[in-house]
Amino acid sequence: MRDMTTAISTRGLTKRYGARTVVDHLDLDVPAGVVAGFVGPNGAGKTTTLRMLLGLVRPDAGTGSVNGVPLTQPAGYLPRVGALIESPAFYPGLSGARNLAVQATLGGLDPAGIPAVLERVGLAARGASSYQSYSLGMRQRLGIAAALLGDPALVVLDEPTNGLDPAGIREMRGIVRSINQDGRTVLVSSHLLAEVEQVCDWLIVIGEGRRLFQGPTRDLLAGGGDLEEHYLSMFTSTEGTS
Amino acid sequence: MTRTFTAELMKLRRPRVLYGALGALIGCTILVTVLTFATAPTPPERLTAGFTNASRLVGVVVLVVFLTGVTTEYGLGTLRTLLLRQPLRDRLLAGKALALVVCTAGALLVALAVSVASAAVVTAARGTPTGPWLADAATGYANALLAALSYGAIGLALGVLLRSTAVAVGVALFWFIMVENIADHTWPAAGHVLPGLLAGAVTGIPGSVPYSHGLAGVLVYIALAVTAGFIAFSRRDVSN
Ligand SMILES: Nc1ncnc2c1ncn2[C@@H]1O[C@H](COP(=O)(O)OP(=O)(O)O)[C@@H](O)[C@H]1O
Ligand SMILES: [Mg+2]
Repeated sequence: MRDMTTAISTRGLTKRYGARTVVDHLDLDVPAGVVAGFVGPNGAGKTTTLRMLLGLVRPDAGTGSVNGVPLTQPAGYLPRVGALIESPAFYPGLSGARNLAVQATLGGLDPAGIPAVLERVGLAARGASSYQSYSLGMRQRLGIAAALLGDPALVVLDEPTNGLDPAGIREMRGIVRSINQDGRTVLVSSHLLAEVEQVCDWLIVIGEGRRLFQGPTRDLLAGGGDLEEHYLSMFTSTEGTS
Repeated sequence: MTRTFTAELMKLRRPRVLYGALGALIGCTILVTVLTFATAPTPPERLTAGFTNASRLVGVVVLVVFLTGVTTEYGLGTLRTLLLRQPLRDRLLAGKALALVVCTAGALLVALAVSVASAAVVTAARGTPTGPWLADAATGYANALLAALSYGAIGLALGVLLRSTAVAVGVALFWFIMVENIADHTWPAAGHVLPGLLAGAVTGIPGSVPYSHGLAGVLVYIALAVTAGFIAFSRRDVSN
């Protein structure tokens, strides 16, 4: 299932807001076919990095590519990318299905795929209800359904478990796993390592915009001890140096 | 761009948006028309006079519609979703603008019909004579549409530049309702340079600068607003 080509690659990716460098010379490599966790505390620069990968925010420095296409040409790679950035964003007055239809129309995708993605996230029965009637978990799932429209090779999910209860978090893990089993690369961010470590076979850990770790999840474990401990120790050491 | 255009029309099917804007537009027109024909000592002969008088209010409504068409995308965060599906920002904005232009053209046609009809009712009730109105209505419509689109273009640019509905609407109302009105009474050159007053010249509001001057001014404002809006939209980070 896994080939060794690269889904995402960046070199020196940097974003500054005013005098603050919020993403600091990131070198990322995400192999195609993995579930990659993108982990760091709140404010570490995860969302900003993902926005740069998706052509929403322009890097101040650095280069990169997604599915082999340079970051400077998002129109070249976004048709094969599905993403849920920050929180789900839909039109409250339209139904879930209609919201997806707007996106399908905009992206030139076949609207016939909509029932299948709604089914996939367990929203088939509520697709006709207006978005504003959805619970947080349903909104999150509609966001994932939208990301799955158009058969993407890469799915980017930014903190999909935010605000969910433990059952919702477990369900989300199942969805992430199943997306990957279709042969898609998944990049999922979280501020809690514990929420993603079980599903990820690749991990990127960042703090204050800098990369602290990147590699197979088992390598992070290899030092012995618990993942969470490693995770915390990384931040204590950066705090010591900053 | 057809995809963007169609997607935009799908969103406009939200009843609150559609009926709100259309209701405001038609409400304003009827109100001004009735005031024009019912209260004037000698009612105007042109049945389209009410529509002309309403053009400034209509313009502001159109401006708010264009403006919120952009700012709600920022407010809801849906702009990022749209840009993931259509990363070519020029096309996204062009499709949105085109959908708004088409809707404006349709709404103005309805407003014109409603205005002429209510003017006919009022003049019939008062028993005053009226001249032929059809040719009047055609040129009146074309000019009102152009004037409305200049407001719309400015609304689009304000929406892109300010991104917040509250701030942008505040700025627009302050400018078009306060500043231009005061300037009109206190500064002799105001009618030659301010966008709302130039649009008034295009629709034929009495006391405006000559039509040709208004037309040129309005076209310049449309060009400036569209250019500023598109440049800002394609360059700015989308980080909300
Ligand atoms: N548009 C912006 N303007 C100024 N600062 C920003 C902007 N977007 C993000 N930041 C700052 O950049 C830092 C990283 O934010 P973000 O990428 O959202 O982190 P994360 O997703 O890891 O929580 C934060 O300190 C945030 O306040
Ligand atoms: Mg974030």
